[in-house]
Amino acid sequence: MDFLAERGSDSSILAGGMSIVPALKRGLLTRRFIVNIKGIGGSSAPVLDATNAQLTIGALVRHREIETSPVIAEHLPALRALEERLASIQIRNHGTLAGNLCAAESWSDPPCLLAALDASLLVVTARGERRVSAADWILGEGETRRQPDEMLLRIDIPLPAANVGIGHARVAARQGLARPLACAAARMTLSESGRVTAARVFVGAVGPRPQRMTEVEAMLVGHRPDGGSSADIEQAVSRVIEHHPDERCSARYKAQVAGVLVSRAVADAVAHAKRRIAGP
Amino acid sequence: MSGEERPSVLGRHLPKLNSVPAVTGRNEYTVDLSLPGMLYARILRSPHAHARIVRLDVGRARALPGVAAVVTSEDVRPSYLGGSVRHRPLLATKVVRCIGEPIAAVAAVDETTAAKAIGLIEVDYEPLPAVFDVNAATAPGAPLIHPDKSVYARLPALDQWFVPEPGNLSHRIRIVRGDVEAALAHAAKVYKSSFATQAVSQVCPEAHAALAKIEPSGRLVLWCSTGKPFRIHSQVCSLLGIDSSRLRIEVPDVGCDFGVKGEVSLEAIVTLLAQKARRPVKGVFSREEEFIGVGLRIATEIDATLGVSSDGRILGLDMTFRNDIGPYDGYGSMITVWAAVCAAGPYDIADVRVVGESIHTNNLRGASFRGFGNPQVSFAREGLLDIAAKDLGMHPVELRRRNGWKDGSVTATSQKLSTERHGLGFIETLDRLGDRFPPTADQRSDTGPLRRGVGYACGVHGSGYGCLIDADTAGAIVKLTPDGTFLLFSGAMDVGQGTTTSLVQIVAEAIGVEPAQVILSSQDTDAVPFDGGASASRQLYISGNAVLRAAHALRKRILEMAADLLEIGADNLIIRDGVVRAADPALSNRSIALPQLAFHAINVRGEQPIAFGTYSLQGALLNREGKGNPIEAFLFASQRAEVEVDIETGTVRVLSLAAAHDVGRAINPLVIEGQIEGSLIQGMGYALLEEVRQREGRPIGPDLGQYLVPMSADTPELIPIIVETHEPSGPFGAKGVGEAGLVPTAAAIANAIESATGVRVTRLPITPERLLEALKKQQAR
Amino acid sequence: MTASPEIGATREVAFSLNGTDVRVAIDVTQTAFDLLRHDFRLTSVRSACDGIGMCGACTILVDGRASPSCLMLAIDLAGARVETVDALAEGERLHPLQQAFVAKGALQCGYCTAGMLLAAKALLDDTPRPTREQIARALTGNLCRCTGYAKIIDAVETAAREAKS
Repeated sequence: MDFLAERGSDSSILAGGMSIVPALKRGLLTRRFIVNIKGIGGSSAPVLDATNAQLTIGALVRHREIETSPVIAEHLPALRALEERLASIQIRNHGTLAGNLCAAESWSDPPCLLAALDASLLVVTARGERRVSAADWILGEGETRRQPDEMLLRIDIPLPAANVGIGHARVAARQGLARPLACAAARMTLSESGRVTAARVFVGAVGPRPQRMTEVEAMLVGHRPDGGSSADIEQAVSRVIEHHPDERCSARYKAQVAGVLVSRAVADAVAHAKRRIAGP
Repeated sequence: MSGEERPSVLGRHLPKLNSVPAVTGRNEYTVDLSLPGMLYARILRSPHAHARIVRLDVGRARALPGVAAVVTSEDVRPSYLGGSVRHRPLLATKVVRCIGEPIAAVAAVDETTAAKAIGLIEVDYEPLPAVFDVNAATAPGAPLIHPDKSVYARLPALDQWFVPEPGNLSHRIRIVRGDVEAALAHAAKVYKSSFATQAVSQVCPEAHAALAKIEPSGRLVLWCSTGKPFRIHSQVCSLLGIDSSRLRIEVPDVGCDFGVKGEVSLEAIVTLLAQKARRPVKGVFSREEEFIGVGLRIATEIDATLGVSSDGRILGLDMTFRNDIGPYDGYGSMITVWAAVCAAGPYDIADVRVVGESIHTNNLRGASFRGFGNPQVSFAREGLLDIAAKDLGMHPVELRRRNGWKDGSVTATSQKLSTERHGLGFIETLDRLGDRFPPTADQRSDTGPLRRGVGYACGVHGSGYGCLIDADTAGAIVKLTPDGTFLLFSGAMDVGQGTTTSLVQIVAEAIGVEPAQVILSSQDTDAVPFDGGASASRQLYISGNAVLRAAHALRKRILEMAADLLEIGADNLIIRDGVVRAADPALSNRSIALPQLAFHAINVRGEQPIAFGTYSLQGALLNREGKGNPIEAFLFASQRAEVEVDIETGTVRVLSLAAAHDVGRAINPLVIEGQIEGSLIQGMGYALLEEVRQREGRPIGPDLGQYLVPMSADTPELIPIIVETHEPSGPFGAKGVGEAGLVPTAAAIANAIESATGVRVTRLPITPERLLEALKKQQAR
Repeated sequence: MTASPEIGATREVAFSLNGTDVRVAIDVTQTAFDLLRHDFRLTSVRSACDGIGMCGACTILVDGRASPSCLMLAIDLAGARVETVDALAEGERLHPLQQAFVAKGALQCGYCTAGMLLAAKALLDDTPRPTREQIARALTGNLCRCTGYAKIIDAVETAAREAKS
């Protein structure tokens, strides 16, 4: 951390290397130093912290470890499903979730789901540490709130309570090794009577940052989940969604599809919550 | 003649000859080769779609330490490349006509220095007005890409269609049968639609690669990745002014060539640099150069009108299509001719007019790519047939069966078909597809936002270059070696498709030995007879016939020599288990093993146990009206696609692809299945995923992260169905399959999408966005 | 954590390569792909995508895991058990996967084959009886332009069935 304190603005941090190495080979790394953090220690797998009711994913935890973690399978099956579909096995074997978040590429699934999960990122410097919410972490394409002397140490995800369900939906041009054209994630809380008491709904991959769908959340909270129609959700999404140009498809398509994905993520989250409430 | 009681070698699922080297990592591609003292080549490419080169100064590049040679057009004699029209310079002279056009090249001690040297070359450009679509290119006042097109040499077969008037229209091909306007005027039903297809990259996993060296004798050796070594040879020699005997080409393993590796660029540049530097020079294209620096499948716009009787007989087809061939007509106009020949499909239509235009633009240039223009026109025709079938309430297969070619049918080029001369298995491919999938299996179904549907499409292709050149030739040599094995010298190439394995089986079958007794020699233009190479689905048919002739001739000679030795008539001898013996079991002691016979031939008789065979498909050029017999061996394909569409997102999942192909005789079913399956997946990519999008001639996303091809998770169930009809002129009745698999696939998928959703998308690729837009339009109605 | 003072510095890295311990000097910015293909001349480690992790031809096994050598620094091979396809056969005896690829026609031009075999081996070592869907998913980082993947999946299925349990 002392090195970063001194040379951080001239350094790139290397964990898995999935983003750094190709940039290096293309001569696109503008900074002089590469800080290889593989030796920092910490768990190589996601860790359940029962007291704090959170799941912790350290900086060196690879996608594959998340995909195969029993702890994630039990508590965050939506994250497991996302990881199963992410990139390729080769990339999952070496790339890290933390690295994905720091690369902040727009066409990516994890930032959106982590925002919906209300995850927070612990960032450390030589001086101390601070927390940034996953929803606020990304500022733009390739840009995050990480300061030059900071390193992302871990991602903490609050354990969903027993009446909470998570859903994630994506669209891509092909089944395998494909970045999303758009994605959506929802965390839905249901009361005993089956009404939605809380909702976190995000759209991802449409622009560089996950976009929160507060209007959709407002439509859902306080009502029975099957009360509204997906058409209403889709309209709400299309009203608020930011339009970003994309070489692969038009902003209009992304906006249309984002609405559909939000409906599906919400429906999946509600179904998941109902299953959890109903019990084994 | 052969294989009396022994089981035939034909029809065996023999693994490909390169299998063990491939699975052990011992295969070797040009990309893997290196020589001591080798230099690395890099090319400076045009950043402009159309510009004059005002100043070109390579001084600083030449002066850079570690640079051994720098070449520009001044180092090349004034000569041009091109299959259809010879007007492409190896290195740009005064004008660049597309982005990526090579201007200069360097050879340096390592890749970093070579890249640096490229950066030191100074070029001043004067941008010129450019055109990026066929309509703009043919509008009045459009800037001329070749102001003086009459000065260039052209392929004679295309001459009658050359458009001499100044303009970007290069050739216009017409195929006319009967009177289509009258037919359409009287038809009970007329259907009309427009279609468009996109530029696509071959994505050969092994990029273009070449290594050139001057031997001590002064001869040049060139190793390169290509399926057409003789074609590369003649282009390099004529371009660089080298006598053809001064160049030898060797081809190691090839990591794919779907057509694009038949047009020289890197190969000649590397040879030129080697001459200048007097050291070996190697060049390998980056993946980006594989998008920008080599040709793409031609983008086509098609207008078609179909006239049908109320009982489903096709009365007339009127089709016009315009091919964007880019600035240089390598294969562009040839592709246009071939597409026109195949445009009417395997249907007997009395009145046809097909007009094809090859048009220059400043987009990335067009190239020969598996299918050679046929997939594009078939996409249009089969879509239109589907529209007709739906309107008439006929099953799509039934409409095709009713009009499909049979004995006595006449093609759009007025060629009369007879089963005596041609294997006509089209109807049988429909039948076999129907056996596997009865109409009851074609049900639509809906589950939430998912819609399932089934679509059909058919096509016809041909083996060989028939109507485009005078003679499509192959030769072969078979030699009996001292250990009793047979060495086969053939210029036929394996670029993955496995034809050479089948050729080995042909030799083995003809002589009467096991395939393991037949060794294929390495690919060396010094040693093997001329062969047109892996192209036009020609090798199994044409090279196969040459190989068969050589094998028969050698067998005959072997039996004659053995007859003398054993004092038994040659007619009473057989070859079995590596031994020549009497057919009569009672005389079984009268035999000689092949190794002994080989020894005897050379050392006692004083003759070479070697035979030569040649075969050529004589060109049947079309007349001005497009009449003629352009195809001898017809390749029929009937395909069925099953898809599931998510109507809320526009995404398409292909569930299954079935393809019934008439291959004449299945020499190696494993290889044939591989060809069909591979081309189905390429067809799926063509239909749904792939496009080299260009903005003002500049490709968007020329990398494999943005240009998406099908991966294993995308693969549907693949059902290849081999139909054998016996092709009279083919070796053991075999013909080709390599391209036919790709011809109808996009249409089958588009038709399946229509069946599932009621929406027809007539522009490829059918991306989720395009489909969703069409679905929304339909909902709005 | 190790901070490299300068891009372009050299280091020594020691690992096991195809069963043999090796120790070699590398440039700290060198990729694993570059080290294996150019320094060790293992031409079975291939590239088709200009090193952006989109083709799988560079796949190697690192501690038994399918890994993208073009996206890894050579220095990160330190202490690992690295395998290329060259380690698959035992002398002239082919691995069941290799035999199955040959018999089932799971290769055409052969360019993707080495990477494909390693990804398949990693799968079978992890999941001895995979479904076709699992096979397809495991190989989806390996681009093949020739076969349409069907015979590759057949071959992996066959090898799984015929492997000793």
